[in-house]
Amino acid sequence: MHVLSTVTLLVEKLRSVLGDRFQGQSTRNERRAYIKIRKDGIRDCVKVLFDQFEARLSTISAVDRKFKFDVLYHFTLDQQGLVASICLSTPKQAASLDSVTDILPAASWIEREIQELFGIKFIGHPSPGKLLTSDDWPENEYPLRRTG
Amino acid sequence: MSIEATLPIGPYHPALKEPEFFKLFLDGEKVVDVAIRLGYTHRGIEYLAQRKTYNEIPFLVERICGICSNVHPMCFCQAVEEVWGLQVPDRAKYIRTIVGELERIHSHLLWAGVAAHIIGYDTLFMHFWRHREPVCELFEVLTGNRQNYAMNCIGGVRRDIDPTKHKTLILETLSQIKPSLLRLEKAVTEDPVVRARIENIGVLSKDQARKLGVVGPVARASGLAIDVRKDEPYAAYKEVGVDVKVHTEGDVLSRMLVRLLEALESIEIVKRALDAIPEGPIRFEPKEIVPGDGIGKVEAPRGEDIHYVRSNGTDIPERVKIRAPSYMNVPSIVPQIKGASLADASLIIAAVDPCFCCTERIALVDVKTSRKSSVDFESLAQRWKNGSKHS
Repeated sequence: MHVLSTVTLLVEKLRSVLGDRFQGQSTRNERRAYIKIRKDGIRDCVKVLFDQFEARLSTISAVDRKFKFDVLYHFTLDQQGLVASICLSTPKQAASLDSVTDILPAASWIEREIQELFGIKFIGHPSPGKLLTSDDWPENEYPLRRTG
Repeated sequence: MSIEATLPIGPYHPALKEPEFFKLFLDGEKVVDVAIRLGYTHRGIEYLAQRKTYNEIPFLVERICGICSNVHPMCFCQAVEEVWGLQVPDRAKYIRTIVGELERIHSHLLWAGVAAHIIGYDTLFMHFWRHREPVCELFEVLTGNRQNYAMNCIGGVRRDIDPTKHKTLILETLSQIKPSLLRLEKAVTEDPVVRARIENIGVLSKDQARKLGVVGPVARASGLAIDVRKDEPYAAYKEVGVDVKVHTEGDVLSRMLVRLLEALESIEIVKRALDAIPEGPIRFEPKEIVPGDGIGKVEAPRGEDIHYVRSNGTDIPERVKIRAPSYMNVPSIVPQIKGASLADASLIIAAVDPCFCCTERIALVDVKTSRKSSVDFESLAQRWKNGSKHS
């Protein structure tokens, strides 16, 4: 299927599943789509991508934006050579997101990593223990979180 | 089923001489479960990248890995070129392809050698590494270094390939190693003793591979026909083409075959690229720093490498996110190793070609007596060879 028609199809599907949790999309070039959703829509969104579009989770990027975090779930649709990045935001205070690891095991490590490095809690992660930092690393210290 | 003992392998992996912690739970000689811990060489490269200028970062990310050191800078440059809307000269695209494929050859041969060493077939190990050596020497001539080639820069490459001198040397080296590789492939596939050691070991099903998001030869050995070079052609892959190698058995033998066939295919890709390489400049200078998001993707020897860059318009990026292929492949060891024999554990771990760092130590824990002891890999290997129990 052509890349652009896949994007159209994906956007239509997500719009109908997510309702007002769908917040818009932009296409940077023919191989990169950025889809903005409200943070409570991520689990439904992952189900659609994995089950209906055979998407593969490449990784998740968190970006510190001073008062909030932007979080981008980069899904690769290999057959179309397309990366669909699902973008959402969470406020910095008590930052949290729903874990998608139970739906998609590929998310396990990267969710734990973001939890450790940025302090975004992933609610419902089946094994949320430390992945990267040492055992004596102080609590509430997040290496990639910007302070001030 | 009772867990008789736990066997921690690491933080230093015995065969790959790199730190990662595998805690094996054992029932006799059978592995019941495994817990993985990493981060022992976390160097904060993403943090550093967010404090350096765009021109400095390719050299920083080149240090992520000494084996696939062309991959990360190429991936980063592609991400930045996407944000800035920067075109790369055709000649530079071909040079990136040639260097990338030569790197795949040496990386796959390195892995095949390590695998041979782990199954106790050191003659084969020596042969694999012997034929890897000319490729490393070739890199020294082409780039000035055996590893860490520093070929990529934003907008192109830093060194040209000489159309006569270098071309002849590359073709001579490749024609030298190709028949040897074909012979070595036979040594693996036609030797019943080698086959017995790697066939039906560490099986990863297609469904598991998809759920865990594994990439590269591990995915392709489990029947997933994914390859960034084909799916999202970068550099000159659209022009030179790639024959993606896929096997469906999902065991260590399949991973071995996929890598060996890929090394042979890389030889052909380099030849095609050398034939078709156009003349012209090797770099376009960037004109302005544009704010926005960009994603670079490269098929590293170990699978898809992805870099995400967010630019805020200054000369220092707002965010650089790096995900190397082993990050997706290492968790797939868990389903592969469950139910395996302890003697195969090291091979299974090594068969995903995990990329971490160097040295060696193992700790043994017998849960019944809580007795702990530390041994080095050679002593452990000796125990395995002698067929004695691990307690």
